[in-house]
Amino acid sequence: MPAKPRVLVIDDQLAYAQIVRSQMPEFTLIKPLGPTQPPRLPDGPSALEYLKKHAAKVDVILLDMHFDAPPERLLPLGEGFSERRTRRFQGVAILREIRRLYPRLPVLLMTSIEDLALVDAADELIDQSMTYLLDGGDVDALRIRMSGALKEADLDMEESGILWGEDPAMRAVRRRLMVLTRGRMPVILEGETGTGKSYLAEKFLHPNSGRPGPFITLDLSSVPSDLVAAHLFGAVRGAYTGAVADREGVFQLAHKGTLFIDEIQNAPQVVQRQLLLALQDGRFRPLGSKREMHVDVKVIAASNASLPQAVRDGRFRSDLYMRLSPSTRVVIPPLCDRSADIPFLLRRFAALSFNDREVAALRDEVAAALGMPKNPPFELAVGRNGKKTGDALQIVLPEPAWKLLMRHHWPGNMREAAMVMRNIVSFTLVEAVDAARSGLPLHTPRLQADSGLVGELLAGSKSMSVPGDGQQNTGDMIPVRIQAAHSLSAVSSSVERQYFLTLYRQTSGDFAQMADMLMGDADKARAVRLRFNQLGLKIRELGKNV
Amino acid sequence: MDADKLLDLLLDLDHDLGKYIVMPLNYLPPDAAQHQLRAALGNALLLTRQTVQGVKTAREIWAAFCAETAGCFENVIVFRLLEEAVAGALAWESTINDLGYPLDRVMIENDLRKVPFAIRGLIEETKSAR
Repeated sequence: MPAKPRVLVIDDQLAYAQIVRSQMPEFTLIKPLGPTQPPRLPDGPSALEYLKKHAAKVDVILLDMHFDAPPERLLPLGEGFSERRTRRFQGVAILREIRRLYPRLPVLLMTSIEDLALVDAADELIDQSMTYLLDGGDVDALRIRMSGALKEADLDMEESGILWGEDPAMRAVRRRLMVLTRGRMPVILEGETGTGKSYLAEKFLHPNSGRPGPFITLDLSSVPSDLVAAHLFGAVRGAYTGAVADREGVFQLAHKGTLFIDEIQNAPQVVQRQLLLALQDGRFRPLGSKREMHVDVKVIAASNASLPQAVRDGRFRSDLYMRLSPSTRVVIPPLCDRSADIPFLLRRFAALSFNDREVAALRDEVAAALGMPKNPPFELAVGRNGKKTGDALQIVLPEPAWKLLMRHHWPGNMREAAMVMRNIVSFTLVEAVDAARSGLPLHTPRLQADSGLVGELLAGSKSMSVPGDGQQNTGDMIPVRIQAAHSLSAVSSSVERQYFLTLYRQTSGDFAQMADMLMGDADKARAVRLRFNQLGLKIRELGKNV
Repeated sequence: MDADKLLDLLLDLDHDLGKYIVMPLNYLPPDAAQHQLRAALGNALLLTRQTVQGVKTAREIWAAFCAETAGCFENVIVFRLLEEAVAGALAWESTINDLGYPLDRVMIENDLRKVPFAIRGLIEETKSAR
């Protein structure tokens, strides 16, 4: 972060610029229109024009919502927005353009979440990284939010072994987890298998929690259901057949630390009741014991299925879900939703596997055959353009193989990507080792990976890789009738109307259930309802036909 | 005037008057000196809306709103509360240049904050009457 971060104010009013100038001396207020002009840009077009030339000189943007600009100086917000409404929500139009052109530039939008909901922009903008909201507040709130935004902008793609990448959804996850690390409040991590829930719990949540105790894991899917309680809370000798000695449960072992309960949706009903009591005040009784124990544990519960859905299906106690607190539920996006990060992740996984203990032996043998020193640097190159640079040992992926990787749906998520890259690296090294051992001379440190190999490695999961076929989303098929219309947007609106109507009937008009099916979050019912209105679907009339 | 147009005018009033009448004092440091408080009060009431089109005082914004909505809020009690709130806030105008008059930040903030509060009340009332 620069010593005196530079703030660009985009506001038709002078108020925010005056506040920064008079009360925030730790920031440099940019004078975009020259030294004698008010230190702000009064509308969207002038802001975009300025950023085109000077974006690199801006560290953070302070953006107002309402702009009293003449019509020709307003950016459009879309159909159905009168001039007055376009003025009132102009900040959203400006922000959309800034996000599109400068995704890594932090923007503080001076508005409330309620205002964003009025333009159906809340979900879209909140999920974006580098976008922060501040409504009202005071100079301290503004200062704290701006500093937080700048710190996040400084965050690298990789942090202590965690591959955040630059995908906005994943950055938003980091921001949320950073808040949730503190205190004893439990955290719910939801995400498909392989998205890295346990890794995030161990490598990010626990170390950042400041808790002095250990990190303890219990995977409920690997414990027989009649032994879950004993594993969680411990048991005294003779409490059940085979309990030949007292045993401590994970709650005791995690005292003053963090307990990660994986696959919590698999907890038997009777254990869910015990868990509820333990979460309420940290008290429980080991199996067969009369003595109550009290521990100080931060619980992180993970699930690869939607817990709100499990509650609705009656498989998970609603009181336990509420105790775990829906407000601390964080959904880790599947890899297919992080398409911008995939090249970075694949390269990183390849580099990490290059230094794997088992792979390292192959690596060093190839290096020796090439007359290179042990443990040479590594590069993953793609196609003919991947020229050798420096002294690195390269694995060259043919262009079609790389394209195959880019198109793959990654149903096994990060775990699958790591394994595929590890296999590509090790198989390519094995081929080179075999060649060297059979006396073939190796001349170039550019080792060509076999195109067919990549196809074979991906084939195993391809049958699973239909979008929406993950465990979280059953991806129901909904038939729609395509009819020609005057514009593509009219066609897509018609398609959208049809599937919303079908969902409405399937769920008997339950918007929470629809939100859960569409966005994996029942709390976003309001967004679905707003979309209904925008599509011209009249709920009152639909109600008669459900 | 139809309810949607009325609501639009109220939402604009919420922004132009409700937001900017409280903002300068909200962003003052807790230990602000008298001259800072006086400048903030001046910004709140006399430089309420400063755009490229010019400056509007709180009094002008309120007068324009009343002229545009004349007769629309007859017998609406919440509107009477808003009128009282605005009158209470505008009463502080006379103290801005009266350097001998010590300003009481708490009293000023209380009076100014009644304005956005009353505007939001009228917005809710108008929404529910639609």
